[in-house]
Amino acid sequence: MQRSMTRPGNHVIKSYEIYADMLFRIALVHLGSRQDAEEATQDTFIKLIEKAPKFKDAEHQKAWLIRVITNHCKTLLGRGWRKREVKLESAEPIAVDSPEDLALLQLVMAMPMKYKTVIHLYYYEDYPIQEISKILQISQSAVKMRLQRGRQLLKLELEGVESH
Amino acid sequence: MKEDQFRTLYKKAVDSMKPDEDMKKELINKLEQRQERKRPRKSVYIAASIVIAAGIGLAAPNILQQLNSGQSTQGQITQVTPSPSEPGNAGTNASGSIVIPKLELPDMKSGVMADMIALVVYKDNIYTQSATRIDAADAAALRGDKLGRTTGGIDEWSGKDKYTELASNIGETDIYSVKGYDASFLIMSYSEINGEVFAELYEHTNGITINSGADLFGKLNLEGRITSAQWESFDSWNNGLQQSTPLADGESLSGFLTALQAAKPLAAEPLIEQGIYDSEDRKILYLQLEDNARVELTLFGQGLVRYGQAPVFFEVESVSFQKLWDSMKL
Repeated sequence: MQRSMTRPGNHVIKSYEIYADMLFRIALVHLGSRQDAEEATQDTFIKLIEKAPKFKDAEHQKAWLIRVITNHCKTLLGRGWRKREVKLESAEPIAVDSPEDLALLQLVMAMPMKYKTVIHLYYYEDYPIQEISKILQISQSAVKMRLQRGRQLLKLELEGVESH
Repeated sequence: MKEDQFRTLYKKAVDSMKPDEDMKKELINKLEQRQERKRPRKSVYIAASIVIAAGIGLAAPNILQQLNSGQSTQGQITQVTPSPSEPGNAGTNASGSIVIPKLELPDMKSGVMADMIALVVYKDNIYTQSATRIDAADAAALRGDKLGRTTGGIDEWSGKDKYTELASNIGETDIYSVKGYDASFLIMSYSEINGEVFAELYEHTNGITINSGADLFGKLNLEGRITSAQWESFDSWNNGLQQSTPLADGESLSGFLTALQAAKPLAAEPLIEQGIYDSEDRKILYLQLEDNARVELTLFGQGLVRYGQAPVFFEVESVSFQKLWDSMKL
């Protein structure tokens, strides 16, 4: 059973080592900016300290962190201080291995938030529909529908890219 | 592009995105700064992107004492002697009933982050995802009259103007009444996509006054309709293991359900703030009904029961509760 920490460097830093990359990637897919994604990741670990939830196991903690950062991204996107439209041609370009990787990421990032959240958890994190439902606190039907619509969007977009 | 191909390529693309090393240093700095200027916080619980302004009554002192001192004695719930809520407290009337106001939307300027749960607006009321479930295969038989079709449009940052008739956060789907239930309490979303049925129940448990368990559980028409009952340990439920066990003792269930109808309501907020959810002294009870709907109740070791999102706990007569609780053993 994990407990809250009294000083930085305790279990939160250990959790950081395990989950920071995962959370950063989720935030980057949602926010499209390295700086915003890093801030969102840091804020999520700060919430971990503030709320100090008791986790049954590592999967429980991982799911909680995903839910927190996803909701945090939604909040940031809804505050109006940044454009909802994700722009990868920002001052801080996302460093990826190839133009093909960038094109694929752009396709996912350009999707409506509720679709790309489900797409990311399903195809990158390999969560089944039932788990995504629990993490995002939405019905399994909603997960299936979002997954299906996300697939439709990607298929259309991907065909467009392939034709180039 | 095929799904598997997309999965492979997407993983490769995402794997290439990594945070800077400085992110960790900045986090440690932030944590140290926060500790230096630490100040008391008050946690806020929001569901469905709306403030559940639960009636704020005074939970029974003995229960709060249990919560403050840890769990109740293993295998033995503590006898509770609830004191009436103080008249005049918001949401609590003089007789100790719990008044659950209509759900209100959050002040978008508050900056409070909301947890989003599935919801539908019907006849000016907000229905949230029900704690009563149905399988897709049984949904058609329960489907009543078509009430309309939802629109999407509600999300975490929707203001009041978005909460129009049949607005929802579940996308576009048909809404029906549910046979055997009052539409003022329960409605169903139903759609078929590529031959597959998607159905969910939504319930309206706000804008009501609860004097006893019957005011909420009576809407489920449980009497004489339970075909089987199962229970699940907290450990199984918490980890999504779905290891439910048939409840063998029909007599204890019968006594519990009778006591549940007469159970005293307690406002949820004080109990939540005192940490009732910090304890793992919980069991989940599933009641299968003759129409194949399945009602889920959460039992707390302190002798309390909660159903779904309604911001109210029910204190069940202790002997009846204890008998059922003791029968739930692996």
